Amino acid sequence: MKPWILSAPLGLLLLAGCGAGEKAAEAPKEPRQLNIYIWTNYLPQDVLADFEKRTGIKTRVDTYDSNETILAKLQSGVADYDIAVPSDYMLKALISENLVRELDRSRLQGFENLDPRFLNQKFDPENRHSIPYVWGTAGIGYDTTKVAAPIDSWGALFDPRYKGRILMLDDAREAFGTVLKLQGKSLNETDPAVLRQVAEVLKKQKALVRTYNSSDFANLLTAGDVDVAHGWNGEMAEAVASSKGKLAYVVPKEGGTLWIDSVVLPTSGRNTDAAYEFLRFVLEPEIAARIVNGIHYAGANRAALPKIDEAIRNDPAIYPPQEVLDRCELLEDLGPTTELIDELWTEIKAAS
Amino acid sequence: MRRRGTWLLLLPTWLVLGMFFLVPLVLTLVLSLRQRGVYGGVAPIPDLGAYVTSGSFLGNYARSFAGIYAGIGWRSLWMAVLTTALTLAIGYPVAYALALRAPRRWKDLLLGLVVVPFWTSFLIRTYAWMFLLRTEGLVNRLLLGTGAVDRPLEILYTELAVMIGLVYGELPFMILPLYASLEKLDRTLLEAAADLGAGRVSSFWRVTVPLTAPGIAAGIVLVFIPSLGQFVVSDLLGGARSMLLGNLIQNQFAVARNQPFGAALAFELMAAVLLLLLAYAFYMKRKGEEVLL
Repeated sequence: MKPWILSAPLGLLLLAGCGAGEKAAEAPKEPRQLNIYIWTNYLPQDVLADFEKRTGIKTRVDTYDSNETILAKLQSGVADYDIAVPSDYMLKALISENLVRELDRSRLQGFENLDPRFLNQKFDPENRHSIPYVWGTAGIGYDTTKVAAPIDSWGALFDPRYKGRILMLDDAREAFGTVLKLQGKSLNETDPAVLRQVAEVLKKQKALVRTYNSSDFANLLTAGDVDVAHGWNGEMAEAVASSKGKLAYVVPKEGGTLWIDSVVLPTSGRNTDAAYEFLRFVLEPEIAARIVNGIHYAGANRAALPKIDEAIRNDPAIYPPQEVLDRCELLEDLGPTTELIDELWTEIKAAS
Repeated sequence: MRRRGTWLLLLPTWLVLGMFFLVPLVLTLVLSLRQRGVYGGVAPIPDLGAYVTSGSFLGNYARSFAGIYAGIGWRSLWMAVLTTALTLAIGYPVAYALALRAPRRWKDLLLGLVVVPFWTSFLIRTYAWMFLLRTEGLVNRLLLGTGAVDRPLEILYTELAVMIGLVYGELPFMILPLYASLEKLDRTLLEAAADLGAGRVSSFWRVTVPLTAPGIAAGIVLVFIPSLGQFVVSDLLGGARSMLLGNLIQNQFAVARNQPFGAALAFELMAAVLLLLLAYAFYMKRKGEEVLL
């Protein structure tokens, strides 16, 4: 007998079996994907790289610079983002339009680390759909060497002395907010007559504005393209901190916007498991702290606080004192008035 | 039999045209006749009969002719005309030098240099202009350094910056067709003109220009149409202040979420472009030239 002749086919079979077995084991290992839709400058590169390394999930990140864009993108039905980070009022709209999933709390860890001040808000009662990510204010950043006196009022954005040196956020709700606050009204005014009159003020202001920009405002201020810039605190604070006292950021005395940006899972996303892994990842105090250290926006994770750089933790522009917060207001979803604001904003931007 | 064969051969053309041109066109048209919902999307039509008879279905078109939007239309048209005129004024001498004056061994290299910018994304090249033109940018530092000006020029975020960006971006599209038709120019005709007593200027205007008219027409069409729909340049270099038609349309889809209004504007723009192309095709046919597009 030549046993090897007999065993040869057997061996082949075994080999084939091994091959098949390997294939079956490898199939689920094919790289998983996570599509993230997030504000510009909101996710440090090294944090993202760590997430990929730890989980083996491949991420694709797209960015936006206005809440309205998130709504338009998710509404279009062609986007398949697994993660999005809308602000308060837009989150409410996304929930009422059924564009985000309800969260399964049992799949999360570290929810108790979150600061209760940012939980259970009107825009998402009991946080059924969202996890607060970062929060902050809108105010004015300015070049102290180019303005006569320290700025403390939204009026600076309408001051003819700064003609051609003013930057406005390219954002309807924030722009309307500056005028509403100047007039002592709520950010969430819905009276059409008032809103129309605010739009007229903003149209007139256009002659003073150098540019509308929501993604690069702090850089333009640093580069000297504008002297007075409407903007959100995190990027402003970063610019101020590295300007050696040249720049300053203020939440005007009339009061400003307080915003809370939350992580949600859009219904159109297909990689729910990977999305939950991402949620668990950003809920870890260590990671939450690194995000804050990287993007200079205040985090909603209380347990992360001790791990945050002292300079950031003690920066009143990033973690404002209570008396500043007391004069700030959250933007709310305006329901049917949304349409009027969209239309008026188009008119303002279209005016010559 | 022959007939059926022809139809079969044409099938791929019809499929491509239908899928990528006709279907989207019809979808856009239908969308443009509806109204937006509160948060975007389209509002349901409760009573189709009343919707049609009341004329509501033309509401978006009516709105587009309101002062403010018509103004944007005119300005976009004016910017596109100006861009076309400037690229022609700059592009013709460049193409002329390339085709008729450049030494043969330099020609390919020079032509290559015209095309090289295409290797970089247009967006990145536009950002580069932002760095050049900004208040403390390269251009201003150079001007201040040489004492040509005593305070920085505010070029970025003005109409001038938009114009620079548009002309810069569209220039190659003017130079290339001009080059192609100047290259084909029969030089013996220029010699004949000289023999018959035409001076240089006269032979340029009476021989060279008429003979390269098809190249000029192609260049005009290739430059005019894209500059009419531009939105990146006016957004980045214009600071999102001065809107062009392209910005208005993009804005309706991306921010204001009024897709029906955006669709109506897009449809009007397409109609204008189509008219222009028809005029071009008609002109070329009358000249007995091949239509280049």
